[in-house]
Amino acid sequence: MKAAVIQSDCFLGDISRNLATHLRFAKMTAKDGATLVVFPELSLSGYLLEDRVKDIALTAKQVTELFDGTGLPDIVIGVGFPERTRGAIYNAYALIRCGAKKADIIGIQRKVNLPTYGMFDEARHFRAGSSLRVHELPGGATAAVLICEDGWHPALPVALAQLPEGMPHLLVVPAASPSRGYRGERPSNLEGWDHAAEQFSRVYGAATLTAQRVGVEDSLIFAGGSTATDHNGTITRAALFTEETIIVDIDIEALSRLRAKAPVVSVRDREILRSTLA
Amino acid sequence: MRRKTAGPLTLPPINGPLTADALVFFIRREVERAGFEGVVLGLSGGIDSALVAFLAARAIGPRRVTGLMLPHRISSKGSVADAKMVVRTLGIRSHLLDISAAVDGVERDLMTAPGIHRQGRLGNAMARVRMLALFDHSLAHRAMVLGTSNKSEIALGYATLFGDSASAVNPIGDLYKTDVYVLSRHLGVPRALLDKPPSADLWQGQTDEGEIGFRYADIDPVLHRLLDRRETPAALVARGADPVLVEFLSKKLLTTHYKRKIPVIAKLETRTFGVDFLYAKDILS
Repeated sequence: MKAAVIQSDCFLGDISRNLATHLRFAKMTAKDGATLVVFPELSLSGYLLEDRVKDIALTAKQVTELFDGTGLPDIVIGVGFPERTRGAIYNAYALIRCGAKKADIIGIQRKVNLPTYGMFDEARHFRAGSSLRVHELPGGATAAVLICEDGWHPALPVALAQLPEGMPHLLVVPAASPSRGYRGERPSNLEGWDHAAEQFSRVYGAATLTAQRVGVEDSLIFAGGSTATDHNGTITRAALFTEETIIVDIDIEALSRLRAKAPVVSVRDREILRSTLA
Repeated sequence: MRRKTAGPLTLPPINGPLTADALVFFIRREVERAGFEGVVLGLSGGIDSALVAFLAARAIGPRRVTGLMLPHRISSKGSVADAKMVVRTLGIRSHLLDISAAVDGVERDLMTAPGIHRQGRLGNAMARVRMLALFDHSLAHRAMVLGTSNKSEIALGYATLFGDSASAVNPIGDLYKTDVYVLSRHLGVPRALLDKPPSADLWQGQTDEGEIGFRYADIDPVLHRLLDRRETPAALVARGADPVLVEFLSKKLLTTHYKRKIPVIAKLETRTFGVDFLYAKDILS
């Protein structure tokens, strides 16, 4: 399958303008054969929303309907948005199957770890999600979504690898990581992200699609630096400080074979996890 | 006996090309999104404003950048010459406006209190008259005012409140003075500006380091550790930092903090500006 990682900018708090950006990128990359198109964290709304969260949060149904009748071909797109439910608002990510007329939701992931250190205050505005889900994409590939901070918590891929069906083929990592640390080769936050993507792909054998936000919101500079790793673990990086797309060919069969040959998780690991945590 | 092995503290150099790319991107985005035609900044002839001019020219093109040279009759003659060198090198727009008469007017009509702190008050008046010129130009020409204060002076509170500290957007406020030199060298700021001692140029013979009492080369590594890395004063002294400098900086960071806050509003209602009405400046821009 072909997947597209979209390193997009957006208009802070303006969903209708950002929707237009999504459609433009989705059409462009679908033309190049991408059947999965993933955008960054909170791609429909922007990141530094603060009190704006309450003004603009959407239900999963409303987000899906945004993609009805948009003329997109039969592709799956991943979009980040503030999700309104009956009792709370989540920092969420939807995988939506588009089509000529009606769009359908494949699944929602809610951010599990809301950062509250340094410049972050997400737990003030969002409720934390409580579990990870594995989503089945048309064509048989499976995918899990780790939203930004969740990509830094080693327990999460470990938990996914414990599932009876094994690690999902794809890890979608939408991020809005403000750049900081300009005393090295790359902004130091991106050096960390590169290590994480390599780790996911080498240790867990998952192709990883890290869609980084690019743009500026007040003091925060989102530098971009998205990455994609394929079934071989080969990493492709997007440029910094510009909107860009990466299209990557991922052999799902090869990922399945790899996993069967060298399973990441053994029954023994599970026992040790249980006894350690007991 | 414990041997003291700590060498002098240093600030790891910033990555010049990478930082330039980030700040150019930042300026371009902020100007475009806020709908300004261009930017305006005060060109003092010093290195900080020269650096901002270089970044802005790269971000939006030199013809959309205006440098206001705002000398007072006591300003050093070299200042205007150095500012003009920046204008020529970049091909930006500029205006030379002498602020002496305006400051004289302020002194004559407004500074009616007796002569205490006369020098400091006059210095403040100059900084605030310059601010008036910049914000007047801003409205007249739809130009965003770029700030030119660096992190070292912001940390020390070495600025006039509502004077040189006033701007719409400051691209270099998270760069220590040491970083300003690294980035300026990378961008090709003229040598003459790199070599002269930093000065607010508010009275004759004034230099930052003379007034502050310490050199930026000593201040910056300590500030970086106290401020960004949250190392403790005791740990820094143990690593060989000057205890007097460490004490001075740890106090300054807090006692000057009022200069870095927007005016505090007495809270009476549920949502109060500056307290819990939380929106980014860039919302809906």
